[in-house]
Amino acid sequence: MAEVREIDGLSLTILRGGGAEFHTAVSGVLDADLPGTPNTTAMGRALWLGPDEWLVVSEAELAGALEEALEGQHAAVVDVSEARAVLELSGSGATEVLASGCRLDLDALRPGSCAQTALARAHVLLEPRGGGIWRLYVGRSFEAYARAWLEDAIALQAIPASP
Amino acid sequence: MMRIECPWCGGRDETEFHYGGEAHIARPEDPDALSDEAWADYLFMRANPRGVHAERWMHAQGCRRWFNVLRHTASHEVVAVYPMGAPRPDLPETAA
Repeated sequence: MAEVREIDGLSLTILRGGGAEFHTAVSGVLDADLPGTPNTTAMGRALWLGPDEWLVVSEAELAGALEEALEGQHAAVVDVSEARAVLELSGSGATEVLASGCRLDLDALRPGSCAQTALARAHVLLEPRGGGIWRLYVGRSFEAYARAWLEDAIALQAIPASP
Repeated sequence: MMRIECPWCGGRDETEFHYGGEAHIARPEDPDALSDEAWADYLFMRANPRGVHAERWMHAQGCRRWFNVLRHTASHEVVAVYPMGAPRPDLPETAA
């Protein structure tokens, strides 16, 4: 049976900018290049959000270091750790639970990719972690809704289909 | 339900997008110099064709970027997708 839990303590930073200088400065801090291909991630450390926008996910807070590295550049660094909730959906049938409220072809989403879409009408950033484990980044104010919806979908899945 | 090809994210359902009205309507350089009629024309008058319509869309539940779409208003066929600021593309022979 699938289960959903919240992942606490991750540091989330929105990063906006562009150009060679910007990418060099960011790579120095992240120890990874920002993904240029839409809907991909840099080893789960930076997720593509838009052509000039990424979500940086880290254990330690990075906003300060990024701001320092980008000083004087036309770029934006915003710490959104408190503004987003991170949910993890795992267990058997996790993908089916997600598919019951999401219109994307989830089988086409491999580890290393990510996608922003709607889950039961809530804006969500999906990140497949491999082995049927999904990470969901939702707005903090949508956390209760997304979680309740997922738990409901898991419960529904457990009901055997009528003969 | 329409499928719209986001230039960044690929094909997604219409419900993920936000409609932004007719494309290529430039704000007058000097609104003060306009007659009431010309101002009303800029504000309210839209093409409303039965056929291919140039309009703006935004991928609200995705990358949140604006882009232009040529859509056939009767069949909802999306004929072309092109970036903001680009001129309206010429139609392929098959579409009308």
